Amino acid sequence: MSANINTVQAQYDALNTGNTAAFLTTLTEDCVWIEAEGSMVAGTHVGPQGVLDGVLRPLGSAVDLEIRAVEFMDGEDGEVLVSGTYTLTHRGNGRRETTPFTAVKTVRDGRVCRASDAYDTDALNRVFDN
Amino acid sequence: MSANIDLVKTSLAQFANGEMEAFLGNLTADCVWKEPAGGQISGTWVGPQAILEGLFMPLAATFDWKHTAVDAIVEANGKVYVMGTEEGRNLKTGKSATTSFTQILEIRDGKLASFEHIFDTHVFQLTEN
Repeated sequence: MSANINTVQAQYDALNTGNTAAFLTTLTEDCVWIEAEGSMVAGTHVGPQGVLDGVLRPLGSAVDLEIRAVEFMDGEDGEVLVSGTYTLTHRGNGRRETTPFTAVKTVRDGRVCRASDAYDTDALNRVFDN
Repeated sequence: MSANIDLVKTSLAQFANGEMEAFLGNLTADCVWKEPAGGQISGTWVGPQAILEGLFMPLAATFDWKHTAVDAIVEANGKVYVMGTEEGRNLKTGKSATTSFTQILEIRDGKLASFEHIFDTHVFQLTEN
């Protein structure tokens, strides 16, 4: 496994275990983190603090996220392609939805400097239905 | 270029050009095609005829759909990954939406045996009204 894949794997491990401090150390100071338009945390978030305030805290207050990253592939220019599944569980109503995703993480000097993914936000947002 | 990537590129070009008979001829008889759960046309279809009738024909009646960019075609772990941007114009409302996508394809004996389409259906739901 390449060093870049190790970095991305460590980031997913930190997310799945709720280790926020470890997760934040995997990001560069200028990391650009892009969330899809239909997501509850949609937008472009910059830097560890921006990702913490714009993504992790809002998500963590409403849902539990489980990421099953199945495939890792080294791409060009430090890119790591990932495929797997996201599972959201709503903390209030207990609803649970799973959808496949792919992500592209760009690693620079052992940290992730750009992250974007593709997945069906409407499928996951069903956890908010009554 | 590997034979698998060549097949995928040829198939994408055929689909884009409306050469459906040729495109469907590239699918195995038991090809499994998955579209995301949140979409206007969601589900899983098995076999070329079911894919044509259950997906392509309803899609053509609902959206004018096309790839606007293919950023990467990568073969790894026995699969071919196509990543890019796609656009759909809702034929009822005339509204268009664009989103990034990934297609994950498995190839068996020179034919497409499975196709999983991953994209954010949310932006296309917004074209309904």
